Amino acid sequence: MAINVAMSNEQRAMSAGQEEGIEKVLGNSVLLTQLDAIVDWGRKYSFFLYPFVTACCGMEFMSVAGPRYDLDRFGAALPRFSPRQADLLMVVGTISHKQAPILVKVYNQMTEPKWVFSFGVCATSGGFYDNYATVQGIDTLIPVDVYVPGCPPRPEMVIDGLLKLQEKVAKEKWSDWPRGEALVSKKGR
Amino acid sequence: MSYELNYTIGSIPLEKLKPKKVRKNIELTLWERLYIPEIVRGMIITTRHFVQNMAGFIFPPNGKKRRVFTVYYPEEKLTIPIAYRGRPVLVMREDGTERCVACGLCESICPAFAISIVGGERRRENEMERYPVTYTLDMSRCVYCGFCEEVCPKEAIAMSDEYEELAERDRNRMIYPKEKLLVSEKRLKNRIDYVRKIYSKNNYNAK
Repeated sequence: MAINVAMSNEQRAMSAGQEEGIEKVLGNSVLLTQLDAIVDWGRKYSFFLYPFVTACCGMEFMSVAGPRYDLDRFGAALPRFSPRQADLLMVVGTISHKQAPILVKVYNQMTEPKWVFSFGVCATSGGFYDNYATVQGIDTLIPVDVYVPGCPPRPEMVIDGLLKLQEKVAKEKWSDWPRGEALVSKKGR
Repeated sequence: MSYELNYTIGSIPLEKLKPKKVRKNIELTLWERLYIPEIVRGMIITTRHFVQNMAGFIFPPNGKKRRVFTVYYPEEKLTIPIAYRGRPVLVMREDGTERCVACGLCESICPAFAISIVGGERRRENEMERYPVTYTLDMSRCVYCGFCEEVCPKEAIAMSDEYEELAERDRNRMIYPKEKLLVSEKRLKNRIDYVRKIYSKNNYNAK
């Protein structure tokens, strides 16, 4: 079984091995850790999603965003339809190779504390579209934070994923999220 | 050709159902043209929903007669019907071994190629028996179609009602080995009975 899995975010952060920016100057001082804590607390309850909906999972996205399961309870209700105003990229549905440059462009345009949520098996691994036309998992293009399986996932699974992402965001430091453009785009190389 | 309309909608017989009156003339009455009272009426409805849901958020409801529409998921879990296909699991006998005989039918029917089996043989109760040495299920590809359950001649794989804790931060963790898939017979009894009923698996062993 050949499964190629790109580096996860943690691995990438470890392989980079060095802290950037403000942490380089101040280190892990009390001031910075407390500031981190409060900023992360604010961030984890105010995701602004950009729904990149390409396929049938969109229906399930509507059901989880609607009043029945209500993403607003987790502070992630408001979809922004401009990537520049969003910080959580929801990749909902199959990404074909034709669609891939658009996805990368949208990711590059997003403002910097940004997270990526892979919604459904097609975005996670290509699902049963194991063919020449489909990207085998969006983590071959952009760094992904949470994978939610299912075809389509139940709203409960999506909420599980969102809670996992909140856990991750709560522990983040300044240097943790991937900066700059995606590695596959030209400038990122 | 004549159709007999003898069905009912809910518990109301069809004769008693009357067409609802719809206002086709959209000229506003004086009360509506005053504007403010209608706005207030609308706001009251909105506020009522808000207060109701807020109360439900603070004290999550339980029971069937609920007025709160939202499912407060991590605290409150819905009971899902038996026909629901959750994550596929392997049926475990009471002595901890699996029913699967590694015939490979599920592997070949799986549309997503999510299953991969390595078969082997072992001795059990003085008989040789085939069993899966490894049974790997790639949950990042599984589409919960239930074909594996339908095709299995030994009723060794079943779609359980589990749907929680499937989201992962790392894609490598979504490849489930055999140990993670085994679930005891007792817990899956209802589902296996249901599968027998819908796929008529026992038609061939007439008793």
